[in-house]
Amino acid sequence: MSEYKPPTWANRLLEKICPDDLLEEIQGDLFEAFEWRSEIKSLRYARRKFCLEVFMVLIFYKPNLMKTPRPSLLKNYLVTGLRNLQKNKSYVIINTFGLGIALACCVSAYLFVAYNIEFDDFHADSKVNKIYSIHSHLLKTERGTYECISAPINLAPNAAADLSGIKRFTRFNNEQGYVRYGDHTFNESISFADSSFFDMFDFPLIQGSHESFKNMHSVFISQKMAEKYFRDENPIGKVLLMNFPNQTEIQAVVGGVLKKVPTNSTFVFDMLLREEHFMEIHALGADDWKDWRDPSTYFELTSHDQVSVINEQFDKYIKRRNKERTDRVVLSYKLEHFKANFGQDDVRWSQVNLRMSIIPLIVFMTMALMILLIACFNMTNTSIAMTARRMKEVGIRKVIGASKWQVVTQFLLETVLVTVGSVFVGIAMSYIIVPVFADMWELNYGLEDLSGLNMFLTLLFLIFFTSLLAGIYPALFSSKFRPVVLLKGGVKIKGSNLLTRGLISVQFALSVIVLIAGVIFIQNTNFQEQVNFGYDKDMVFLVNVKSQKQYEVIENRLKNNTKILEVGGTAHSLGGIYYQAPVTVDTAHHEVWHYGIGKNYFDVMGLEIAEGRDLNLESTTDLEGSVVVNKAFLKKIQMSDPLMKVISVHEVKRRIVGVVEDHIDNLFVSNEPEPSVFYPATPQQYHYLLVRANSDNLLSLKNDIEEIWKSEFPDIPFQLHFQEDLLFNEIRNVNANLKTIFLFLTFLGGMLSASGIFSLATLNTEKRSKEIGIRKALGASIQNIMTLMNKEFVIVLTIAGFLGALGGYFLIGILLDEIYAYHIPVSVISVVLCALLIFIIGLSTTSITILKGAKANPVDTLRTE
Amino acid sequence: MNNIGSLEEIVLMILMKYERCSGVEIAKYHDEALNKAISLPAIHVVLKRMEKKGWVSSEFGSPTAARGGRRKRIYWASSSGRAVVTQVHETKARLWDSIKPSFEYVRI
Repeated sequence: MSEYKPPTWANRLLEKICPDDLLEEIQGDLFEAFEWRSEIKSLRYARRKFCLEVFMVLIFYKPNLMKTPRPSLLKNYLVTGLRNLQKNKSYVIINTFGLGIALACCVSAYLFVAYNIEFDDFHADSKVNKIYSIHSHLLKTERGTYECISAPINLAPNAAADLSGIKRFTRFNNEQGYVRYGDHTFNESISFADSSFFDMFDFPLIQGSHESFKNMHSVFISQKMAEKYFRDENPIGKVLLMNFPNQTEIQAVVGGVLKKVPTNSTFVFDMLLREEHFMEIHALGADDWKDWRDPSTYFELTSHDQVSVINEQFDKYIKRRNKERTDRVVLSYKLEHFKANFGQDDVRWSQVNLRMSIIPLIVFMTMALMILLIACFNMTNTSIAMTARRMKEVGIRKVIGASKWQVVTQFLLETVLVTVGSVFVGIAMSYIIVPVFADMWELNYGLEDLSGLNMFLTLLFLIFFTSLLAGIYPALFSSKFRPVVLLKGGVKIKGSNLLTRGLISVQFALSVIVLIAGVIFIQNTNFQEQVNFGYDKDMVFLVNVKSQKQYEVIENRLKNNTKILEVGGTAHSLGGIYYQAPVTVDTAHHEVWHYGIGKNYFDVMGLEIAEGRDLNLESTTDLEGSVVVNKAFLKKIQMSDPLMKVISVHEVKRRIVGVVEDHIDNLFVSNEPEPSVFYPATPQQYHYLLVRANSDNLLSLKNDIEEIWKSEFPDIPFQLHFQEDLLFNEIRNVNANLKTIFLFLTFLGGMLSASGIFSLATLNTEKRSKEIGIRKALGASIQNIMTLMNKEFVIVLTIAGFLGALGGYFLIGILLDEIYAYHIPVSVISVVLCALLIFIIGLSTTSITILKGAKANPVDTLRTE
Repeated sequence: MNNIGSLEEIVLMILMKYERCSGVEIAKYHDEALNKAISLPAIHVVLKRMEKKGWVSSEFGSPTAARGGRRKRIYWASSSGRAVVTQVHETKARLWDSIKPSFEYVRI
C-alpha cells in the first residue's frame, strides 16, 4: 500500500497553503481518500483527484493567492511598458530582430532534432506496437563487433514457419533498375517487400487498394512517380516495364498510389515490388543462405514476451549462415523494437533509412544556442542600461506602495513584450531561413512536416527561456533597493558592472569563434582542392553501364575518337566506389579495401605500378589467381618482397603479381593511403566504362559520348560522372554550406555584440559626461579621454579575444575532425587575425560614441543641472 | 437556520444515517448514494460552515496508519441539525403531496 504515494509536490504545496488548525484533518482525509480511490478506481485517478483537491484547498483557504492583478493595473503595466519601449525604439528594434533571427536559427536546428524525434511517427502506435526488426551483430576482423539491420534473405520465411509467436513478417530491399512506360524510360531506385508489408505498416493511399499488393505482379508507386510516368492518366492498372541487372525483365501492374509521407521514415521508397521479384532478379533460391544482399527484416509478434524466446532460437540460423559464409562472422541475431532509437551512429549497414547521426545535431544546436545567447545577453545588457535611467521611477512606484513583485512584473512584462514581438519576427524569418537551411543539406523535410504540438511546445519553451534569461536580472536588480536611496539618487549604476562586462566578453568570444570557423572552412576548401590523390583525377570520367553488351558497344564506338587517350572498364573504382572486406594472409584476417578492376584500369586512372606488372585480363591464370596490391597494403601486413606471394581474397587463393603506388581515396574517410587489393573483374561485372580524355575539352567529349549512347540505347538513360565530381561534390557542398552558415552567424553575432557594446559605451559616456567636462577644462586632450574611457572595453575585448581564439582553435579542430579525415589544420595565424579583427570592430564601435562625448564642449556638459 | 444548501442537506442526512463519520467517510457515502464523485475540500468547507451554525459537532478521533499517523476528526449531527433537516423535508413533502395527484393524472 505504502508504495503508492500521492504526488510529493502536491503534498508539499498542501502543507504550505493549508491553515495550520485544519492541516491535520484535511491532509489526513486526503491521504485516506487517496488510498480508497486508488483501490476502487486507478492510481492515476487517485493522483489526479489528489492534485485537484489540493488546488481546491488553495481556492477555498487562500483566495488572495489566486487573485490576478486587477485589470486596470494590468493595463497600466502594459501602457507603461509600451511607452517605455517607444522611447527606446532603436534598442527595441535591434533586440526584436536579433532575437527573432536567433529564434529562427533555433527553429532551423530544431528541424534536425525533430527529424529524429518524430521519426516514423506517422505509423499508428497500435499498429506497429508488436513489430520488431532483426539486428545482426557481426564480428569485426580487427576489434569488436558491429551492428546491421539485416538478416539473410531466407531467415524470415524459415523463422515464420519454424518458430511460434511470429504473426507475420516482411523483408525490405532496394535495387536499381530502368523503368519504362510508353516512350519514357528512367533510372529508378526500386524497393521490394513482402505481401504483408501494408498490413504491418501504415502507408495511406491516394488511389488503389492495399489488397492489390497480395498480387505478385503489382507495383505500388509514390505520387511523384505517378505524375512522372502517367501525368494526367489514371495510373491504376497500367503496366510498367522494368529492367534489372542480369537481364531480368519484369512487368508490373500499378496497384496503388501512395500518399506522400514525411521523409523521416524507416521506409523511403518511390516504387515497391514484391520481394519474390528480388529473389528472381538475383536468382536466389529458397535455400540460399550465402547471398550478401541481406534485406532488412521485420517480424510482427503475437506478444512482447516472445522476444527473448525467439532471440534464443536464432542459433540454428547463425550456424547455417556462418557455415555458408566465412568472411563475415555473425555472432548473434537480436530482435529490436521497430520504434527503438537506432541511428546512423549505431547501425553500420541497412537497407532502410535511419535516424540522423547525433553529431550534426549537436553542432547545429550548439550554434543556434550560441546565437540565442548572444541575442539574450544583448537584451539583458540594454535592459540594464535602460533600467539605470529609471531608478527614480522605481523609487516613486515603491513610495506609492508597489511591492517588490509588482516592480519585477513591470520590468519582466517589458522583456516579455519584446520577446513576443521577436517570436513573431522569428516565425516569419523561419519561413525564409528553414527552407534554405534544409535545402543546403538536401534534407527533404520542412516546417510543414513538423508536428504542430511539438513545435508549439518548443516555441513556448523558447519564449519562456529567453524572457527569463534576458529579463530576470534587470527586473530583480531594479527592485531590490530601498525607495529613499533610489529617490535621493544614491544608487548609481555605473554603466557597466561585472555581469554586463562578463556578458559582453562572452558575446564577443562567441563572435570570434564563428568568424574563425567561417574563415577556416574557406581555407579548407582551397586546401582540399590541392590534395594530391596519387593518381590523375582531372581528365577521367565514368559512364554507368549495366551490362557487358553496353560496355562493348560503347567501347567499340569510342576506339577512333581522337579526344580520348584511354578507355577502360571496371566494377569498382577509386573515389569511394569500393568495399571493405577481409583478406587472409597465412592465417590472419586483415580488413582492407577491395576493388574489382577491369581493362586498362591503372592506365586510365594514372595509378602507377611500382613493382611487378599489371593484371593481364586475357589470361585465365591471372583472372583466376592473380591480384595487385598497393604499398599501404604491404606496409600494413609487413610483407617484404611481395611478388608471387599468395593471399586469399574472398576465399580464393591469389598470387600477388604487382604492386601499385598509394592513393588517397576519399577525404571523408582517410587522411593517408589505405591498404587496398585490386583483383580482376570480368566484363559481366563491369559497372563503369572509364574514359581518359586527351584534350581539355571534357564537355565536348561528354556530348560526343552522350550522342553515341542515345543512338545505341535510346531506351536507357545516360549517366556520367567526372572523377573530380565524384571526389569533390559532397566536400564542396559541405564546405560551402558551413562557410555560409558560419559567416551568417558571424554577421549576426557581430552586429548584436556591436550594438550591445555600443549601448554600454553610450551609457558610460553619459554617466561620466561631467567628469569628462572637468577633465577637459583642466586640460586633458581628446586622446587622454579616449584612452581613459576605452580602458575597460580594451580589457573586456582582450579577454573576449583570448577566450574566442582558444575556444575557436579547439572547437573547430574537433568539428573538422568529425567531418573529414583529411583536412587543413587550424592555423594559429588565422585564429589570431580573426580575434584581432573582432577586437578592432568592438573597439572602433566604442570609440565612436566615446569620441562624441570627448569632443563635446565642457561648457555644455558642466552647465546643465 | 432556514437557509440550507443542498450539499449541506445531503451531508446532514448522511450524518443522521451513519451517526459518527469523518470527512472521507462522508465522501464515500456520498459517492455511493448519489453515484457521483465529490471532492473532499468541498465537504470540509460545508462541515466547517455547519459547525459554525451549530448543526454538527466534532471531535478528534484516534490516529491511524492509513492517514500517516494523523488523527481524524469525527463529525455528528447535533439536535438542531437534525431538526433543520426534518423541517426542510416536511416542508418539501407537503409541497410534493399537493402536486402529486395531478402528476398521476397526467401520467394516466
